[in-house]
Amino acid sequence: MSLLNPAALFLLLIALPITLLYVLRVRLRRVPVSSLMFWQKALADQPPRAFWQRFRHLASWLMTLLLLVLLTLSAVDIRMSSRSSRSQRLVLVLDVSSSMAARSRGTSRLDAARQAALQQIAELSDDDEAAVIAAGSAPVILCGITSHQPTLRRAIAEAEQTPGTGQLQDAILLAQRIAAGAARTSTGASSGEGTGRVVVFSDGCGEFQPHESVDWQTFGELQPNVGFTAFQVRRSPADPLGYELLLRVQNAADVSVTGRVEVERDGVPLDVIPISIAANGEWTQVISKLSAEGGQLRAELTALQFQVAPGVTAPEDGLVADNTAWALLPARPRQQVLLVSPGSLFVQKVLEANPLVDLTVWSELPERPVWPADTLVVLHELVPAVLPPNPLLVLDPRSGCDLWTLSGEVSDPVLETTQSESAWMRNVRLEQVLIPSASVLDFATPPQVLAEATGGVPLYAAVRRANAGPVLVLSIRFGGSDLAYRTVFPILVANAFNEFAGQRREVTSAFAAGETARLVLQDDKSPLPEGNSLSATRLFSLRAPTGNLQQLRATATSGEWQLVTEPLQETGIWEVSKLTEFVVNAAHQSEVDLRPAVAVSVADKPKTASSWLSGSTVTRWLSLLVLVVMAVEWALHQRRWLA
Amino acid sequence: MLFPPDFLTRLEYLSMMSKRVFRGRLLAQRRSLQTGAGLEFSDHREYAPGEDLRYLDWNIYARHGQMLVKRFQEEQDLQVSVLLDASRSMSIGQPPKFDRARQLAAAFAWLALADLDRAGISVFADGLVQELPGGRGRERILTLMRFLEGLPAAGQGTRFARSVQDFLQRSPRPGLAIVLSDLLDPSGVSEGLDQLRYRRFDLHVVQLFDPRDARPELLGDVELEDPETGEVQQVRITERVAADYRRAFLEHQESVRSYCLRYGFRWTAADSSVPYDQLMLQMMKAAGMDAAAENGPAP
Repeated sequence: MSLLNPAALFLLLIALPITLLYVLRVRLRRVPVSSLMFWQKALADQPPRAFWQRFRHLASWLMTLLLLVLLTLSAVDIRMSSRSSRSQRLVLVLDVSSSMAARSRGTSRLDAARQAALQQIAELSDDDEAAVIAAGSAPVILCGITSHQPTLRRAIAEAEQTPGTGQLQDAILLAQRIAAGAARTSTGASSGEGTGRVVVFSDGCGEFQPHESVDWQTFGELQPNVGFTAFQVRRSPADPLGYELLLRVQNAADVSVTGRVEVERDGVPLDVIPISIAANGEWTQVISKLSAEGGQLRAELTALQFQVAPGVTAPEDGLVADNTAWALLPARPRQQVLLVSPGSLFVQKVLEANPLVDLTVWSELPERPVWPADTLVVLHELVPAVLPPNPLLVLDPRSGCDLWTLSGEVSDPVLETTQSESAWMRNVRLEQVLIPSASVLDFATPPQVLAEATGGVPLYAAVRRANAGPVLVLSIRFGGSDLAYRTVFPILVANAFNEFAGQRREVTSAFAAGETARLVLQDDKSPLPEGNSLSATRLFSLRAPTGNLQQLRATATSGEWQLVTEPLQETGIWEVSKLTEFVVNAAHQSEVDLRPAVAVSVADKPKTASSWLSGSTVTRWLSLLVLVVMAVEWALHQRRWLA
Repeated sequence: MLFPPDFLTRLEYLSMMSKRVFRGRLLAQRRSLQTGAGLEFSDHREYAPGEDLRYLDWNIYARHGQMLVKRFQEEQDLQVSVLLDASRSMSIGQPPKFDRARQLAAAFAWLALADLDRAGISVFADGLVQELPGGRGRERILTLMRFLEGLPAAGQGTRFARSVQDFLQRSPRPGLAIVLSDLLDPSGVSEGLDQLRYRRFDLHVVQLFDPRDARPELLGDVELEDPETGEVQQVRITERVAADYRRAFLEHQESVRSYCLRYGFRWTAADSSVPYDQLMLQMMKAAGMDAAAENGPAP
């Protein structure tokens, strides 16, 4: 036994004034009466109390001293040495995945889990330790091992609901490691008496394997739910420049459901599709005719109604968060293209095949050409001495200019991609492609080489110019090469046009809530530093759907800014420095189904190590005893009792 | 002020009220309880050998064969003696019981004097302390009031029997004895009352008490002081003790009352907080009802 607060023993000194007061006693009030004879007769009728009355002051004094002793013992905080072997180390895993937002009887599963976790904390003794882990899209240690209960309670209260999938498996593994580590630390490796226990507060939904070594506390009911599992814009397989929209809705219920899918673009209703999904079924639809203007697409499930037998109350949709999904539809503006070529039917047809291109053809290069503004210029073989400021795609140049000089020709080069991650080379991979010949260009400034011959001769390069559009140079001789006949060339041209237009028109998949996003950014106003130094960084602002801003640092990689976000915890459309947007959806198959994926055997309520010997319990007992003694003392002073 | 300026006025009013209540049978016209050579027949008693045969009721003897002697009520002046308790216990109360007792004594004396009776005051405590001999005439009321005003309640203890014994030694002539006292004699008052009864006094016992004597509002630890003996006692007064006290006090009052009723004496429990004139009226009403009960409706 030890005393945590021995200074409180000084409280016993209060016994001195208490004793002094009892010794002095209070001077009684003197009252003259007509006669004592009636009083004496009345008091003579109380013989059984005479003995007690003789000692009542002594008893009161002793009781007050007892009160003082009990209060002092409570204040010194007695610790029983035998408790150390009984102390517990708990690691509480709180599932904060989106399915925990399902509400039942006005309370969400997460709220119920929080209450249970707080109750678990309240039952800990002072020597017990605990940690709190939030199992969201990634396990997050909200509070490390500590015995400070207010900190633990605060950590539980601050556990935020995440819209994504809960990585419960990883969280449990992390919790087991923490529990094992805490047990070794606190008891020593040799004693083996320490107990580290993992308690999981979850609804059992999600992808994980049940652990028998952990205690489960499950929450929620078998609620039906309907939600989007896919809402994605993708390239149309029929139209290389077109897009189509995939919608997929899952009915995670044992009854069929009807409802509507309302799709809108930039707030304007686009379509309303009635749906009817069988029990545990799925509804999928592809919308192919989409506007060329692009914009923000939003789909919402409305008027959901589960079909139950007559007389049975229809259940409500369990989760609201997955009833809405977002997507970004890239815009497809028309482009003015000027082809300057002595005559190449293939090149002309490739350009004409692009439905978004308004093509103009010059068959020869004027002596004093007037280059139209806002026009992409494609130079085939003909190259002016001074390149126009327009974005340029130069194909098979036969002469030099202000950016390069023609130094010769290379025969039978083998073409290989050098920067496959570049936007110019998207969807293109050239490996060991043998071509008959190509021009060798000596660039005035080092270009960004996108593809080169085996000897390091740049064959496809990009040159960025200050105050002028970029220049792409493909120095392969089209005449003897079959490259042009490959599907590669139209894609290269499409990539070039997209980049020139400042819109990559590349469809990025929506991120699932809780994921981290890796973004590639191009900012013409803030070009990369010369030499593409890997150490170059820049701050970008990331705007969440709710409007919250955060600064993120991007690094320069492969000629582009690459940005990696933190786990995205909000669903909707995010924006990066007004350069690009991306979508985060809550849609995930495992989270839509609110029914436990794995049958979790709910263990009995974990027993905590609190015993009547624990420090706080001793204090509680002492406090209780103080109250009892106070009540007795109060009662003894009451006339009714003494009477 | 013991006797306020309107005291005599109020006494006159009381006198008038007494005349109306008693309807002509006032104190002076009361028949003495003494039997003797009067004109008015009183009752019969057994004849004892040697008695004067003139008083034998021959009619009874002729009819029933019983020898009964006729008794006649002796008519004489009524001597009203007020026995006033001046012990220290009478100084308790608000107003003190002694003040109320003196006012009542003056009132009783005035009624007697107004009806041409003799009125005297005997002050007692542990014995007869002072005495104002009986006298007649209304003018005597002033002397009597001055006498009362000069009285202190300073007697050491109450010894009623001894006081009555002293009184009887000085006033052998029976009459109406009005006892104004709280009767807080530890040895009891029945012995003293017996002596008066034996001496054929007509008794009217006025037992004064202060409301706090009857219903003390004391609770908790207190020191009680007896003003007569100076004894101090530390007691813890609980509700039960207080209830026992009230019971003992009522038993004491009841013992005196039952004694008086048993022997045909009047008894009045007088709350000293009640004004003297109201007390007198209450007593008159009670006496009137008694008289009505004895004699039937007044003509």
